[in-house]
Amino acid sequence: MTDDRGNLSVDFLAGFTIFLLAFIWVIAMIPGLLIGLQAYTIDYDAVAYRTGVILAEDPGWPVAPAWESFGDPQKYNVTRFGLAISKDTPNILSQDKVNRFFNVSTTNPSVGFIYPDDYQKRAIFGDFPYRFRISLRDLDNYRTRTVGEQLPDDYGYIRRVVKIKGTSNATINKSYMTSHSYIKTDNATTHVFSILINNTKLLSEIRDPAYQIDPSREQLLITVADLSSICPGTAITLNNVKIYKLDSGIYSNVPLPASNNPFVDGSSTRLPSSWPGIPAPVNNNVTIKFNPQYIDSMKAQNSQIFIAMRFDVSPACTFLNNTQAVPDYNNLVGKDTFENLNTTPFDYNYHPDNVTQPKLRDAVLAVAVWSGETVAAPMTALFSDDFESATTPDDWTPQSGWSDPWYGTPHYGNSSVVLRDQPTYITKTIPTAGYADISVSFEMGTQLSGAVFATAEWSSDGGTTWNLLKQINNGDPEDNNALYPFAYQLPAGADNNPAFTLRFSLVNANAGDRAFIDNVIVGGNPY
Amino acid sequence: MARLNDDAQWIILMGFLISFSFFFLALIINQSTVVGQTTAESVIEFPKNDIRDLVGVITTNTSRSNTTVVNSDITVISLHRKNAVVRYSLIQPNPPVDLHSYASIHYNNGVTTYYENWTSL
Amino acid sequence: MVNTDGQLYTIEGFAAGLIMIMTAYLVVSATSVYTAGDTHISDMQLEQLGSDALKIMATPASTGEISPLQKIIEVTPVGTDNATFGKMFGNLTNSKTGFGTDHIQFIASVSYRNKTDDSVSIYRLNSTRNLAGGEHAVRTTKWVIVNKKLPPSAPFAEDRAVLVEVLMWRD
Repeated sequence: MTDDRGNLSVDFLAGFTIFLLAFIWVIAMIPGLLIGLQAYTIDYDAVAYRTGVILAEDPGWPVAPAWESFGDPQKYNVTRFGLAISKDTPNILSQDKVNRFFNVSTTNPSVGFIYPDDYQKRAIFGDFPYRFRISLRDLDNYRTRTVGEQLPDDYGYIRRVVKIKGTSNATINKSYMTSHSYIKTDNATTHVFSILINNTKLLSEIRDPAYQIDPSREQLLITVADLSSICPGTAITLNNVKIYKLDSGIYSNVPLPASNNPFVDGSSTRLPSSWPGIPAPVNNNVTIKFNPQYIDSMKAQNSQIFIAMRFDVSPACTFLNNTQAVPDYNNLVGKDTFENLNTTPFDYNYHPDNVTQPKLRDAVLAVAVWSGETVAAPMTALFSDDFESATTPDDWTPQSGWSDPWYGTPHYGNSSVVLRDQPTYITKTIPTAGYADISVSFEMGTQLSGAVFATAEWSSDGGTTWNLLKQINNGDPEDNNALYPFAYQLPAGADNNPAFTLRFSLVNANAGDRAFIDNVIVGGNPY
Repeated sequence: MARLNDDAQWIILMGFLISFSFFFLALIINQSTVVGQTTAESVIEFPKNDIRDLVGVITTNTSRSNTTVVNSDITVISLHRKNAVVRYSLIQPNPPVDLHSYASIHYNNGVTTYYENWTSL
Repeated sequence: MVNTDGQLYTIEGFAAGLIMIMTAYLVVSATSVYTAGDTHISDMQLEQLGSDALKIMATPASTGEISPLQKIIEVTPVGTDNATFGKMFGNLTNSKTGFGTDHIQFIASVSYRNKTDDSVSIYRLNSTRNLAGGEHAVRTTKWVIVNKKLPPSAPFAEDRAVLVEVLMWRD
């Protein structure tokens, strides 16, 4: 007789074991599937670390021509962001790379990089849609630049301490001209002033990229100043600027594209493309600012570059001139013009008397990475004003009627506030009683001309003394009719203070000058 | 014919079952811990900053005098304070024949061994 | 003879128990991926920060200058405290890009070699406070070449390599 009671159990067991094994196997893969989806910080920290290393220690890709030189239409050529000057100088960042990196747009693909897509591919990597916030705080310039979103409560984080390499610049003013005999007693109407940029010397005298002046990588700024005081009462025009390149004994003329035209009298825009067809009148100064891409496109790494500026003065006068006695500007020939006893070009070199050398500034780079929904910042906001009200800035104390809501460019939300047309300010007393670690953030931007500037200040005594937070001068990078974020941590004097006051001013203003302010937030931690 | 008594077979099968499940459970746990640990440990254990710092100080030293004393300083202090064996030699530039300086650097901290032949720019 | 009638119930019981335990475990493990307590992520972050700060302090701002760290060690007599170091290091490591500052404590010291017997001496450069029991610190170091009399009894100042060591921890 067969008893199959035991058999039945064995069949069941075998089948169930196989099922269970398969089940366990499948389940074992589930954590792997969920790995990027769950809120644990280990992975975020690792991603933040990786992004931090890439940004602080890598120059990005491509290197030559550098990625930051690609304009927005060519930005697909950029495969990796990296802010370091070169691979040999970790933690030393290039100002041009930083400027390009933080040139961010949220919507318009033809203006800057798009958050988050462009950054994800080039700095965060991976297919998982991480959210992130990358900020760089320039400790010496009190400026914070940010790309990304508001921080949530929980995120992966890395902070790097870095240096930012500033750009070099030269100002040729009257005392410099006099001491170097750049003012010749020739009493003529045509004067030529030459500037020499000796790339061979610049690149060989200092080889460390952290301190090198490399015109094809960083912007040079040359200002010829005090022109009005050389011969008062004359009309000065900038007739032309010609560029010559000396490469192994051969001079060649390099055309100057309109995108590199000089600036005249501190204007924030270059001379129009109608120049030099129509010579530009000059009141006091001329600024030459070549884009590194322009120098790079000359392939002038082993060359000398001569900049020959022609000024016409009327009536004839003793004026700035360091190139031949009376040169034939229209037919300049390299050797006869520049290698001439009467020619002593201004040398853009490592001598501190000639050129303000590039300086390294301290900065802090922070990368935060998370995923999922973004929630509001944990900071307690003591006060905030986004200037959306139609009667803006009614809850501030305006000095006069020269501050209004502004619905044009630039603004966030519905409107910002504008200070305009004459010296004016708005103030607001924000009691901070019961709070410490007071911080202020706001968006500010200007459209200025002449000696006008806009300031943001705070006071611990209700307005008797003011402490400067930010000043935007005419010609600053922020002076371009856009809003820029600023954030400051205030000292203990702002803590627990019923007389804490903020003020935004427009100083020395004339008709047409404007300063825009938006999204003012004062935060603190309760005691 | 004597029939095999398989009445207690399930005990053995259960044993298998439980051990298999424990095995897979362990597998899951192990995989998940690895995520955080390897990242941090690989970063900490590979002495990138130490090596960079060392290479930096040695190569800037090529332009200075007193290289023998500095060499002993680095060797002795590395061993005492960083538990790392460091040996290096420098060749100073020899103008006009050769404008470059060279360094051959050896580093070993027991976990990581690193060797570099460096040539100046 | 043993009665096996209840066998199926026993197996079912075991299987059900297993499934329940496993489900519970998997739910827990999937939502918070299991990481051992000693993953050192925060150590890694702190060490990187300290290493960066020392590197920045050892970088001159422009050509021809000497680095702040080198200057600090050169001007500070062996064994005396230098507040400039603390101010600079504290500022670099505690600065955040957003609101607030960090609260990092540190002890910085300098090691140098005695030329006579190849022994290594250490003196404290600056510290915020002493390390209390139970606090966990990470160590970061930086080589600096200084022109200094080391030890102070040395007859003349010369180029020497010294090791700046910083122990860092968070409150």
